[in-house]
Amino acid sequence: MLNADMLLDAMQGIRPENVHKAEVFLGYDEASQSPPHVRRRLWSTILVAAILISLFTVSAYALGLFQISGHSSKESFTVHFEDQSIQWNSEYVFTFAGPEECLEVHFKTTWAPNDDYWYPASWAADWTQLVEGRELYNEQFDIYMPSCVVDVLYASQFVDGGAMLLLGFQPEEIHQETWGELQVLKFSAQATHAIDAEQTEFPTGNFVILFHPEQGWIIGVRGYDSMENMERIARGLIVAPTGNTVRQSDFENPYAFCDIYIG
Amino acid sequence: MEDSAIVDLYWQRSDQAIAETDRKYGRYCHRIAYNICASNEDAEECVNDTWLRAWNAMPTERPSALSGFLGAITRNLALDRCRAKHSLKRGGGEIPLALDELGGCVSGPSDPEREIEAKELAQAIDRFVDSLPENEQILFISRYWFLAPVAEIAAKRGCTQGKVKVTLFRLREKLKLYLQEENLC
Repeated sequence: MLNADMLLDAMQGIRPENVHKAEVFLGYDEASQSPPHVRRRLWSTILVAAILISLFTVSAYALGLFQISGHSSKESFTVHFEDQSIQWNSEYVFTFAGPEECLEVHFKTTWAPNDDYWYPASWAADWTQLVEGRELYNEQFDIYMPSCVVDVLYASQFVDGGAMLLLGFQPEEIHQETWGELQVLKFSAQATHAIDAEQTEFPTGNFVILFHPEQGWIIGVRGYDSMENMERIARGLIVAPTGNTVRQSDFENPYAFCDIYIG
Repeated sequence: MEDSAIVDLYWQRSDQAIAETDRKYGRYCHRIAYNICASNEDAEECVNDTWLRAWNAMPTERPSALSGFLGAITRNLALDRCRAKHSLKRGGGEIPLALDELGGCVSGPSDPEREIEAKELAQAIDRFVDSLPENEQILFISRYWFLAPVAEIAAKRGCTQGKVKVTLFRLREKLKLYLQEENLC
């Protein structure tokens, strides 16, 4: 007799080329998981690294490293994702000038709120340039929210006319700290896109941004988990150079919306 | 490393074959297994078992698409592991939901004398998927081959979960009709 269990097994009959198309769509394919040309999840369209750099413009400029200017912006941008066009409003736009070359780094996580936090766990245990926490389920609105994304960006992508946009979030008060060689920003930001159909609920995300002003790399720890957890994750990161450098020319399109696609 | 080079390592019986496979496809296989098992520990065991199966299969096999070859092994192992640990309906991950959804495509316990050969059914599913437009193919396979959560698919498509659920419902209705026309249910 035919039952749902047999149907589930029979899916194995689907030809590999069709399975591969879904594999690519889901981002499970090997190529899409290879940093730094990472194709990101759409919900992670929360880019805050620009704010970090803007706040340290004076000191960076004094060292002859990075020179950045930023301004509030209410411009709208259309992002093409898969077969859809999505409208986003930016809150800030930053432009860059400075060295073209950054030090490429990767990191390991050493702390998580629970054993089953990272998805998949093996990803976070190894050197990587992107790791994601399992989604948090919001029962009220039947929606999954990103708990935490940790990733690496490089200022060299945006020099010489490039621009970095803060999309979809309005930051609250920004706290600046120094952790050894790193300059750190911590802040909460309210999403400008609602999660409910009535357009009344605007969730607040938490952000910890690590910036190495001499080497030019930026690591963002961000999502809807608590600020306390974000900070503990950030403090637990072990960052090391890969031995490579990253230049503007390494990015196929330095002007791309960097949180949707890099490269 | 290119797939063909990895396959060569298997054929040479080199230990490096598994290390290279794990480096290139470890995360991919883990993701497939985790969707089914909903447990990191089980998923990691499935991935390790996948490498063993691959080691035993090559030679004599020489898969042209290693990701599909390994993914199919992982999926089978994860389903078997889940069945062994629980009845599927009680299991974790996306299996109970997917089974509930697919249950609507079949008419339940039909004539017990009319057993459907698994191979015939698999071929029919392949023909059905091949008849769909590409965006529907991707949605169907994402849900019922990879067992990806609806929320994840919605996020990838940049649309609501409701829209994904409605599209999946229509696809299941199509599948049901197709299986009836093929005299398979």
